[in-house]
Amino acid sequence: MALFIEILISLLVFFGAIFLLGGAVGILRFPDVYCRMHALGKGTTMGIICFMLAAFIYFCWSGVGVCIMSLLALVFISVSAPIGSHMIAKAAYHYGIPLWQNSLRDDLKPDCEFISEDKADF
Amino acid sequence: MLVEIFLSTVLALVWVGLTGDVSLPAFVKGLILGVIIIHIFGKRTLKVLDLNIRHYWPLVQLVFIFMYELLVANLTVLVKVFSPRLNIKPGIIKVPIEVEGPFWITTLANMITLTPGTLTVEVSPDNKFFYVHCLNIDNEESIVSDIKDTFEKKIQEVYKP
Repeated sequence: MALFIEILISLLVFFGAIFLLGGAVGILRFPDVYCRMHALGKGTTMGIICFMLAAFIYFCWSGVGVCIMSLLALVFISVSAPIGSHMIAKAAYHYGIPLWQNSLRDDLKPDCEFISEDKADF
Repeated sequence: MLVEIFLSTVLALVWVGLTGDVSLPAFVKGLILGVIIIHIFGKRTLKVLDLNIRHYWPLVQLVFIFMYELLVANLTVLVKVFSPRLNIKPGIIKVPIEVEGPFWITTLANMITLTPGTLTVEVSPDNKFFYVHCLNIDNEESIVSDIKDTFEKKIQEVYKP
């Protein structure tokens, strides 16, 4: 039983590390800020969820406090990470950072002035 | 009143979890803090939240669909990141949405951000459209129908009477 749990924890840590590595490589390889946000928002969320699950299982028998803490961290991160990448993409767009030159479409461009005027009074 | 009691209990439990001190005094301390926080910020937050969850079973289903899609999304992005030739055709498309209420629109936007190849960039002022950045817009219909058929339908099942 103990061996099985150790293997499970190792697998979780291993895949968490792979996902985080994917996020890091994605930031270097993708061409513009919007594509990078894809790699960052998804890869890191999943990586940290794997790490927190591993911590949860590891501390299950020794410390209830750490155990609950890792579950809470899991919930907070999976709620707040997409908001972060959404806000970065939105701020980048309104700041005027162009899409990658090979991008195929931009449906937001015709409506952009309309949107920023409408939200100016916030 | 019932909602406020529920929320302050949740805040007390979060307090107990974050301090890592599982005992009755810590819980009471958290409860007192929770009541104070709800008293100060409660009216505004509760109005913004506007939660009316009618069905619990679709909510559970929604959580599981979401976790499955999150896993698929990560594998897709991993494959794209590590493929030798960068095979992406990015673009921003306009997706009509039917979900109502600030809380549910936020939920839908977050879910879109965490699913394969899509990222919410902006919401139109009348809350009728999302502007979604996609890594691959070859199959635009399938992206839109994915969003509409899986997430939007489930979210509507959760709050519709």
